[in-house]
Amino acid sequence: MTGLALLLLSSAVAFALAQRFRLPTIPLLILLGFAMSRCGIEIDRTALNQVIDVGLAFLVFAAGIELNPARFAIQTRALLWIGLLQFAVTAILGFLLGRVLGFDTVASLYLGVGLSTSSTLVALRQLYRSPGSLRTYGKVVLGVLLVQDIVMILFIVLLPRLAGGIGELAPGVLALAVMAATAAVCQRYLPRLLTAKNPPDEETMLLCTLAILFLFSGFSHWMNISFIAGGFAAGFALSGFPVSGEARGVISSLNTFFVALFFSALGAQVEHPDMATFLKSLAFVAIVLIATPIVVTIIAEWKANLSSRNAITAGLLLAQTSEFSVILAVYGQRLGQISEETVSIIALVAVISMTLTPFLATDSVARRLLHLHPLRRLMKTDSQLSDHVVVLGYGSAGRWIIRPLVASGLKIVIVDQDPHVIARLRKEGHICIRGDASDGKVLLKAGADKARFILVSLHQVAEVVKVIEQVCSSVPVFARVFEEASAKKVEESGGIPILNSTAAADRFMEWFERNMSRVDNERPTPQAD
Amino acid sequence: MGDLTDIAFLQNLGLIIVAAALFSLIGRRVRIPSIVAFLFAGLVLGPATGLVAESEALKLLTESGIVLLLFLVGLELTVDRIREVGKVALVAGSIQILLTSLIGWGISLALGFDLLQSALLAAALTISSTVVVVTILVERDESSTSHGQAAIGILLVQDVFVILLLTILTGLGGGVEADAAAITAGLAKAFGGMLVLMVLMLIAARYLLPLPFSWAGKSRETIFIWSLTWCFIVVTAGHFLHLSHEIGAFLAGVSLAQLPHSHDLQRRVRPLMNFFVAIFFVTLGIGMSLDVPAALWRQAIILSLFVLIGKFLIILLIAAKLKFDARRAFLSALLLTQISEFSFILAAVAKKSGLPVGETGTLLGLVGTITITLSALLIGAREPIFAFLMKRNLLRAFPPPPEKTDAETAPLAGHVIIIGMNTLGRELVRRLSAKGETVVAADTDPLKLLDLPCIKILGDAESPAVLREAGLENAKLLVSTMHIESTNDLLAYRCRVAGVPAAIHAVNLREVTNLLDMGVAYMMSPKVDGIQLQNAELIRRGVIRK
Repeated sequence: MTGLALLLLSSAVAFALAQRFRLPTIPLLILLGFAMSRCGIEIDRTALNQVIDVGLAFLVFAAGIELNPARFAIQTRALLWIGLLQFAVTAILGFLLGRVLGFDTVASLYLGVGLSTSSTLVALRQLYRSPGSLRTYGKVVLGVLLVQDIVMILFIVLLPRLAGGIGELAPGVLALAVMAATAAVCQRYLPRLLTAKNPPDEETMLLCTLAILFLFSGFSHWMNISFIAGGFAAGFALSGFPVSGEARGVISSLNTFFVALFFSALGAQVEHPDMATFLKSLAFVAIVLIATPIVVTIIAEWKANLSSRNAITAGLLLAQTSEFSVILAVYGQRLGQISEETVSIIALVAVISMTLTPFLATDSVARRLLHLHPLRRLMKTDSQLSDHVVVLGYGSAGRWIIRPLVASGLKIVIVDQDPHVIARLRKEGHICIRGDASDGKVLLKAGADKARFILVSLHQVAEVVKVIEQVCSSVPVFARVFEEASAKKVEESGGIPILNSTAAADRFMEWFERNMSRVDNERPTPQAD
Repeated sequence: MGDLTDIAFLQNLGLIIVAAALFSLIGRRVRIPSIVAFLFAGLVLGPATGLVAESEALKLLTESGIVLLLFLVGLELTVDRIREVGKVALVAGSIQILLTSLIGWGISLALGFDLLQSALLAAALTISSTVVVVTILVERDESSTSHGQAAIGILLVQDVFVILLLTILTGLGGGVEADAAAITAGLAKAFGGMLVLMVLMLIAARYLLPLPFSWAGKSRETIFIWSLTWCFIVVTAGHFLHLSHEIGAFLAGVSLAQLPHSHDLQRRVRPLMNFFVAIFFVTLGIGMSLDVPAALWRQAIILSLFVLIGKFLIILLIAAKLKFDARRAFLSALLLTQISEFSFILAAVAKKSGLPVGETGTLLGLVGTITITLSALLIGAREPIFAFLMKRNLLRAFPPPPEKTDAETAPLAGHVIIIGMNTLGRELVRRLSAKGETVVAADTDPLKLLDLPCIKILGDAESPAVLREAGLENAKLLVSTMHIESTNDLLAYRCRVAGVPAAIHAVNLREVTNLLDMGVAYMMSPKVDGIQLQNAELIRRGVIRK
């Protein structure tokens, strides 16, 4: 019980630091677990291993639940391209660096594969921070993570069998296929069972969810492959809608609890790295930080039709190693295939790269990198504009904005980041400028100072304010924002805020009054359309 | 080539969970409480097949289960709650404990147990199961009814009684040869420790915890891990003061109960507790012996009858004195006709303290299984039983129940639930409230809920418990202004299942299709609405033509 309290205490500190400094929790959990063991606080090894086992099961299980392939059905091809190429390039570079640094073949393989997966937990956390992201590149990022996770599970099962040649690999592949097929069948039919007339209460739901986890783990153990593969397959089995929502709901607090303990316990077991190990880790971090964003950006722009800035942000968001890398390392060590040093390096790379993600995967870094983008040179501008309307940010609803303007015979200039959007608009005969709307030079080129008025719709209110501050005060700037706080900032800086949320509230109230305004207990039937 | 680690622990855990799930599914079919299902699952895994044996690793899990259970009970104990049911519960609870334990003691003595064993049995028979009763009440949405409140109040008094007993038993731990001086010293030590911890907790609740916890409350995960840490730290501290884990956990819970987040914490701790408690009960079943001599069965049946009938009559008697109406008296008495999981714990702790308890543990296991099963069945059939008693005029000592039963605390109905307190959500709350609608607002951020003129729920809308608390079944509309697609899909689905119309924020085109499939009543699209508002504004200013 004391051991549990200590692990919890170190997790509590990690969570507090993560919240205070807006960092991902995982690296801090590992670091504090490590610090605790360095301070001479000993926790029983068997207990640590048991915590790690249960934590492992929950971790892969939760990853499986989150990543339902049906959610990405539209872009499967693109996602496979990005995921597989990214994995291959990073793994090969990692493997080569491992060989150069004097690791044996097996260790280099572990290092390479360990570098190639990005962290679902870190990426998701970052995505939820910027609400707009889930609508654009977020989908691609989540899809790529799914591909990476699946490849990773393959490696976790197959790497230990490499030594045995095809004689050992074949049964492993067969077992995986059986497992995947079982999970796919469950994924298909579980929702029907669950949506039956008498849905189970939460306690039963929890136990059934966990029972599925343990049944799959037991099944995989019985088939002589790692229980980790079983845990992931169990999650996948539960990933169909609405089962995934129910399952996520009931296991969320267990998951938080065990995952926190898992990483703390893991940190407590990591050996103290010496300077050489640390420097080697930095070299591996460099591969993750450089190779991953480049590969992802190129292919995401090419295959998934993302705009350059979004593709770059997606690439940056995936530039870290994963909790799965750490799992792989722990597993390889237990099998006696890799040394303490290799484990330390994989753990260190994870800690460093995850910690860097919130600083690198930001809009401003992506914006800066955009200057290095080759397509940027194609930018051409018209000048001598006056009495026109400047539309800053076209996005998915831009058509609605320009239609009434064109109908009123106004001349318009559209500024957007997205090269594809710009190309399409040019084809339609519009005057366009590709660039950062809050950039003074871009505004000048768009003739913002001589415009009749400006319509702004940008993701971040800071950008909107920047625009308003840069144009001369006689030009009215209309800015559409969602939050009241943003509207206030727009107003303070001299713009005219249009509150999307107020507009939506007006429309909703109209509907409400028409359909269900009477304050009685009678329930109106929903409209058929 | 599988896992080289010691897989036995995971295997045992897996077997326990799978068996628990299987038996609780069967249990639902035949309408027995989950606790009984778990005990049966344990009986099958342990004594019947020998698949799983008790082990040290499992012990930590079961101990954690009880810690979390008591932590949860403590978390529910706000000052308001104590005041609400305080006086009636205190009187009814104390008299109940006194009468039941006296009569139980007499019966046990008559059955041939020695003084100490009889005392232990009497105490164990006195207490009813918080988990069973609260589960039943929550399932039937009766936790705020008058009989529900009365039963919960009596249970809380019993909990304090249990904690005192545990303190005494822990204090006795040192001296096996129970001479008066050693007992007194042990009691003094135990009470001293408890007093110290209680004072510490009071100070913490008042001065130490509110500020940091309200900071941690910005993130639900942080505050969740913090409160669990607090719980286990207090438990560890209690351990150094020679207090049982249970007491520490309970006091840790009480010290956090006064926080505004306690409701959300309860919901978050509950699944964790369920997980560990399921393991606890299955393990309890594993530890039971099936080949019980016939004599023990006879004793168990006699004691069970006492619990089912004697305890029922005792509470009815007290209720008559307190002038409960017939229905309230009948229901609260019926609810309490079982023994508690703490009855087993009492026996276990007594055994651990080295007391000569003999077969009482096994006996209580039998009595528990019998009474928990039968009382759950009786509670299920309470309406016919009540009608029968009224017809035969057997409850004439009580004033008749008021015409509209259970309507004193009107449950939510015909209200609008709004999920997500961003600007849109808050705006809708204000406008609908101004229109005279009853509005329930839910968000995970306490600050966003702070100044709203409506009923507020702090919690994650994905959790069914939050929607239940919001009264989804009886709502006339659910609105979600959230930007997260998967949450919106799930809410739309839950509304369809509950037959409640939904108005959902359609984040993008794909979402529109999903929501249409789910048959939502209205889709909000602030982006499009905003453009139209912008166009209207441009027309108003005469810069574009209509």
